[in-house]
Amino acid sequence: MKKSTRIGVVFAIVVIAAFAALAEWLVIRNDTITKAPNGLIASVEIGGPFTLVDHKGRTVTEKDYFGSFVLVFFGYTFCPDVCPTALGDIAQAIDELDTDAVGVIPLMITIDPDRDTPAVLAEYVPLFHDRLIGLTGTRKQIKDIADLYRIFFSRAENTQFTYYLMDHTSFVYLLNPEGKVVSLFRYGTSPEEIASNIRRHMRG
Amino acid sequence: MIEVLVKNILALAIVLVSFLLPAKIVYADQGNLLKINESWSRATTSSQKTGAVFLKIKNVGMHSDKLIGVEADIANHSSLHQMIHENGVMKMRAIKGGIKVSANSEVILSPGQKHIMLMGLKKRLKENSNIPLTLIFEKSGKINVLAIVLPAGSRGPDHSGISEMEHKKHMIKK
Repeated sequence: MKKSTRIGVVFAIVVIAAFAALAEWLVIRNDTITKAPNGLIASVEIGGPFTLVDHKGRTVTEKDYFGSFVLVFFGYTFCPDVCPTALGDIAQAIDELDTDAVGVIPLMITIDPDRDTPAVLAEYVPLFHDRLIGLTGTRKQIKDIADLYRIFFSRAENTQFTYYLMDHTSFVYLLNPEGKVVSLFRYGTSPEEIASNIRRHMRG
Repeated sequence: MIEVLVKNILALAIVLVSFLLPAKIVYADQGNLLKINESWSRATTSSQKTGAVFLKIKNVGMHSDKLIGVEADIANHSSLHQMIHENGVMKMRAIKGGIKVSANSEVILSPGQKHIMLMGLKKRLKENSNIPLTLIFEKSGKINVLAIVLPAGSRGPDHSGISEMEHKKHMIKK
């Protein structure tokens, strides 16, 4: 084999190996986060500290919710279909929990801080449940927490409208009283299923 | 031999005609072949500028039709949208080419699937109010409907507190 051919072969192998590694990493990422069955979280670390503003204008951090189970949903008020469905399900899960609901705080974190000010959220969240808390922040604060929760979001293509829409990950997360993510619910999980999963963690 | 053949042809002809006759009678009224049922939407706040309308289209006719557009005075722009789930990410896209409603079948526009998108709402959608809409079909032309506004987190008029999956289970049990 000529020297140049040998270098070519080695180079090809390296490139293929790199692609394989990348593909594997993507698949693993995909598996652990997006392919996990409902209510199951793999060993991947999700969640973390944040500083945001609630719909009453108060600055809050993750520590404000320690001591309670927390349901977290990332959405936005202009969202016409997925968010109302998910928030309706969360509200119903809270009602389903009945007296156990005292120990559960439902949070909706906006991925659209430009439009979703505390005042906008204050009008929006009570439509779903009087206990639902809306959180917003600066673009940077929202980006930071979305990254921690591996939430993907981007503005959808149609920019000729001022009413732009967002593509976004539509999971609901359950945090335990120590603030650790213990469950993940896919879009379409029934409120009964969410409620019974929370109860299982409560009985722990 | 010929007698048998003639008898058979006659019998076949009678069967064919019996199939055709009632069909002609029942489906003579072209204007009423599309039934729009359970049109509904969800309440919005004054700052929300988008809304979605869901409904059922039943085609009782023998020919397929296509929903190609929507007009709604309450919004600046109305269109047909489809949700796409991709690894947990929900994307919403305009439906190009309309929604086909095959002969003798039903198409359901429901949360997480297809909906009529109202963009640039001129006023908020108040619970219990009605939204007038005009559906435009390729063959049947314009059909006016009224969509009822349900609570913001509603799943639709036929599941009062029962999720879709549970609802299906109940249906199977029955």
